[in-house]
Amino acid sequence: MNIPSTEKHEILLETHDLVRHFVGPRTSLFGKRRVAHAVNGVSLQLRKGETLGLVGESGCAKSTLGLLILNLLQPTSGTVTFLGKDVTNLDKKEWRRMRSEMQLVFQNPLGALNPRLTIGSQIREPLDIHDVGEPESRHDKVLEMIESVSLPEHLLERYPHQLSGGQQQRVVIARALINRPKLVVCDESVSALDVSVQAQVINLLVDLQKKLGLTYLFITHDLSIVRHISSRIAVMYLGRIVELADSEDLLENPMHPYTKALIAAVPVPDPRARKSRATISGEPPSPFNLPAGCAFNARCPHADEKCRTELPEFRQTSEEHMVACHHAEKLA
Amino acid sequence: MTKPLISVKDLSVHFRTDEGLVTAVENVTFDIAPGEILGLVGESGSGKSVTAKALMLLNPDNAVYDPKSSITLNLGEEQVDVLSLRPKERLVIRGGAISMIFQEPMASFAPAISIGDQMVEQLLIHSDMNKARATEMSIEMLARVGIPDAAQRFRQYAFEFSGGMRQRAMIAMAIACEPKLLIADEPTTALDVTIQAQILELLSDLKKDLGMALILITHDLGVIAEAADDVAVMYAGRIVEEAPVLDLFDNPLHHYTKGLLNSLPRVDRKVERLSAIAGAAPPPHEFVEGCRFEPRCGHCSDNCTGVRPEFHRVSATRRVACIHPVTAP
Repeated sequence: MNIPSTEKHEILLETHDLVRHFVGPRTSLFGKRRVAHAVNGVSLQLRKGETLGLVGESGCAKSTLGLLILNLLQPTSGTVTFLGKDVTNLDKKEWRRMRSEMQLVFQNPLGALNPRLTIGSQIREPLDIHDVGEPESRHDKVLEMIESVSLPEHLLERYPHQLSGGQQQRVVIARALINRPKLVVCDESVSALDVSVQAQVINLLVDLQKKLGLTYLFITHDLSIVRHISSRIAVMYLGRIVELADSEDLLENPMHPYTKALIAAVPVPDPRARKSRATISGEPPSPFNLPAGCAFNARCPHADEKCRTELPEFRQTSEEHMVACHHAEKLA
Repeated sequence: MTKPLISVKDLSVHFRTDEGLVTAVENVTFDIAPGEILGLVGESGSGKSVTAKALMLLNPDNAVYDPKSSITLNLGEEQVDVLSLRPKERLVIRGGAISMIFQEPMASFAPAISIGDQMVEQLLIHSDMNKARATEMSIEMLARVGIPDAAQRFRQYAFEFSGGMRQRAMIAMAIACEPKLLIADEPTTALDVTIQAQILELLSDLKKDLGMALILITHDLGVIAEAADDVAVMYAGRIVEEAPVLDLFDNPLHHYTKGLLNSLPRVDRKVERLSAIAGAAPPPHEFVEGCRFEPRCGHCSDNCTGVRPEFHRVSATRRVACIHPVTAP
């Protein structure tokens, strides 16, 4: 597999041919167990300081990939290399030290916060667990953190249910960042928020990235958000990356027919831009039953015999553009 | 001007709660013409679903409709005063003249009854068809909304359908009795974008074919721009602005509408930095009498405090509830 030249960029994390299967229930009492092929060989690199947007529809295993990258889920095969070490094979002690370098921000902040602890103690908890600095100095760190997520200090004494959704998500972000991680995986982190609050949290994430030199893996189904926040975008379909490029390049010159259909389907907030957006029909196939050849062939308007039999290689078409389609050049 | 299909006047809905009476919707007024698509847009808690459910009297038992409220449905000769319908008379609106589809189709189907039986059941209630004709009609409807192998799918259960197919089945069920008005409450929010595009296209085709009016409730201004004719923007229980869709996006009058439009990330162009509206919408128990957007508004004056901005007409087609509306650029 060709991997783009990376001399210019410092690599923070790299996955190599990650595969993850889930074993389903038996089809009958003595029947076989079905296997869901969730992640089917993903190799990608996260560059230091970048935001890599990971987009795809529900069921394409973008969240599973996020969990594999954070080593919260063991891969069936493949490796994840973070700061030069294979995190899937670390001993407990080493992993514990490394774990605070990578953090996760979920979609639903209320589900991620402990309802019975005050905001202040939840933001402080990672400092206590990893025994960072003198206990007396930790409160100052909490104060500094809550200020950088633009929350008033008096909220420290409150409980999660007393805060609005946007405030809760700021608390989750503060807690994730207090140990100064290098990598943050944001899994649909702003999807549950109302539009006006969503913009605030997106701006906050952008500001914090600049200030703290963070690297984001930003997982979302929303292409508009991803265009705004990402430096590069990876498009996922049924457990594989089908296209990866610079965000402007990907949105202006998409090469994979799925990427094109996905972009066309997003409604634009401009009534003068009305057009038919349903350019592909049908729904993604089931991960229990992967089709032969390209996973997109049943929905693709350009599919031919080759697409139905031969898995397209994820290949480089220009320095910063990778695509997995037999006919990418012809369709561009 | 044609006679509106439905007229909502001064609709206020309160809920009895342990903390006393909480107002969710206040003085909501709008008309829908036959065949029109009205987009009802607002953030969570703005009262859009409560408003829609009031049209079918579907709010829970602790809802109290203010005595000044009125909802009038014009069915040709007959005028129905929706809020005064007694429980037995409500079939006229529920599944009859008005039908509704929801965000989560799984929760709208009975899990242990086949899709077909549920469709037949409502046809038997609302029409004088016999069972054989109702079956035939239901299969026809499933095929009409683009479900392949409709005769087979007819016998299946909701869990055997994918999300997109389930939403199609729910639409088939909702239009089977040929309603005059279809209320779609976040019909595509739970769906993937490629499926959302298919469903929006289906809804707009059906509207054209059947001539029904549609209320499209959503938080997504992209969906509104795509589908609506007229738009009502709700904020904290009130309609703050109403306008034809082109006018609303070209020239929003309320500062909230303008703020919302400016805060959107766009797939069609690069935005350097989002201009977010500071703060958050108040929850219903903190609703004030005056302008509820004032604490977040950059254009308010002393006159805004404590004074309720009248929802006034600024042109034949536009109304706004702001005493310092956005001036034309």
